[in-house]
Amino acid sequence: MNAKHPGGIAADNKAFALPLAGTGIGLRSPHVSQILTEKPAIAWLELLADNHFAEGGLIAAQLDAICDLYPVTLHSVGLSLGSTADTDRDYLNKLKRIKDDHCVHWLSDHLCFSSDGGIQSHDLLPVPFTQQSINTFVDNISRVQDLWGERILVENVSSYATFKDCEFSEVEFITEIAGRADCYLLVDINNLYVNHINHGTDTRAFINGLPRDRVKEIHLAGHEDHGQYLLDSHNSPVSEAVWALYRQFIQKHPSTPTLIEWDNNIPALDVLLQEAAQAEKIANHYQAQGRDVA
Amino acid sequence: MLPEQLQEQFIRCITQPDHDPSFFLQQLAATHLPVELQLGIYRRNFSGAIQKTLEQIYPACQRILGKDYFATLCRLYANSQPSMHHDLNCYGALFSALLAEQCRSNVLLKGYEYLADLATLEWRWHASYFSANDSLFDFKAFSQLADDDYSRLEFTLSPSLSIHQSIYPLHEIWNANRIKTSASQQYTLPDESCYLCIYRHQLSPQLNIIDAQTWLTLDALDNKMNFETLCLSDKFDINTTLPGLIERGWISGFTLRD
Repeated sequence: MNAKHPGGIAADNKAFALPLAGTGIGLRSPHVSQILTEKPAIAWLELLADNHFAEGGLIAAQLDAICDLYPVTLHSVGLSLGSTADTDRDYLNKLKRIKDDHCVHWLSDHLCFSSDGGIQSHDLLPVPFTQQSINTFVDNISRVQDLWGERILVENVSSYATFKDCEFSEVEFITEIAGRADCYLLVDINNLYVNHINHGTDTRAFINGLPRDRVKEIHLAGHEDHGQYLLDSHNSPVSEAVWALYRQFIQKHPSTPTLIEWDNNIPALDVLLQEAAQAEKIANHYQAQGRDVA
Repeated sequence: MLPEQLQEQFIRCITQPDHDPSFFLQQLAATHLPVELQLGIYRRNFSGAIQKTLEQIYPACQRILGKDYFATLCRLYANSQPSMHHDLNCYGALFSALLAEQCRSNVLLKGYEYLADLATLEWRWHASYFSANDSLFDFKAFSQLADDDYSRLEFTLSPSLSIHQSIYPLHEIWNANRIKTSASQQYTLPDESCYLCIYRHQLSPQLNIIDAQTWLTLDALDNKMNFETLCLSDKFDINTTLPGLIERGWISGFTLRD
């Protein structure tokens, strides 16, 4: 299982080979030392791959240690899967190096583009929901999956721009891409809510329209209210509105691993773990309800 | 508009504030958010990401310049240096050049001429943190070198190591400003240049003041001067300097040049 540490804990821990379950948290640098020291019970950790590209030093050492202790997934922000330009091979190779050296359950990135002509926006930029955009995503995702060697997960993004020339709803767009590229989906409930407020996205149609067999992960995060719009800021607790949407979603997609993301104004680890516990409680409730109905 | 054009325009509108956005804005639909605001949100996200990155790399420069002026310089830097690497940790290497230019052209920065040097120091500290790990010096292979090999011998420095020479007391300025600013800071220009070595000991970057002879030797090694030339030059005191550099891990290996 663990290529770099064949004799390590991960290699002997059968939990690492099982499918992911439960609620995880996004690993962020202020918490790494505490996690390594106290080894709290966390179902799994999501590594923001872009934070772990260092060739050596503390970051690389911590990555090794974390991967020995917890099941991990890899989440990236730079594949630029919607880009009309070529895939950044250097970036993909860096992701592959992490995969080759560690036990990684899966890789996820976003349904967006982030660079053009080599210039980086360092943001997740939306594309119009058109057939041409679908074709671009399908080509790029297929190319990445060929190199990665497995299906990847793609995530719906929050956006602030509305394009004139859209031919599909967001859920139609995502479903078509997932089917044609034969990839999995990561559904960010906060992004769905942000888009509902910013663009009037129909949340019910979105939840009901997604192909059940493709959804493999859920993200939950906080946003910032700017009056006219919501900013997907990941700097606050999950809002009540997003928890409500999560309840609707998890009923349709029970047992889907869920992750709490928090990237700015990062609080104490306990706060994240409390959010994770709340998500776990909700998921367990609907899972039990599903069993009762069955 | 073709998808290629749309993406090119979108990126240029975000990363280049002087770029005319009218062509791109025509592709957006006004909702309850005016199209200018839609683009404005992305522009703010971008400038915020760049500023946050430079603040993390250059904390001492930011404290000296103040948050507002530093933010202005971040915007100037972003306009002149588009980010060409997916990893934001690779962005900002030329910030010292911008500070040098500002110090030449802005009378308000008279007396702050050390800032460019300080920025170079901060960049090297940052680069040291992210650099590759050292390989262990192979003493066994070194002991087996034949006499003929010494003319081709080149020592290699630790990937995390860099050296810096300055006429300013940079280590004092940096130490006083990277964590917190003292109420009043006055420095005396040293009589001689200040020689510094930045390297990573185990997992933490370190800043050491070094003597002129050590700096000279490290500079020669950094410029790929081979062992024979070092030995033949009377500028270097190899017998004294070299063992210490290997012992400290500053020299981490060697190669034989063809």
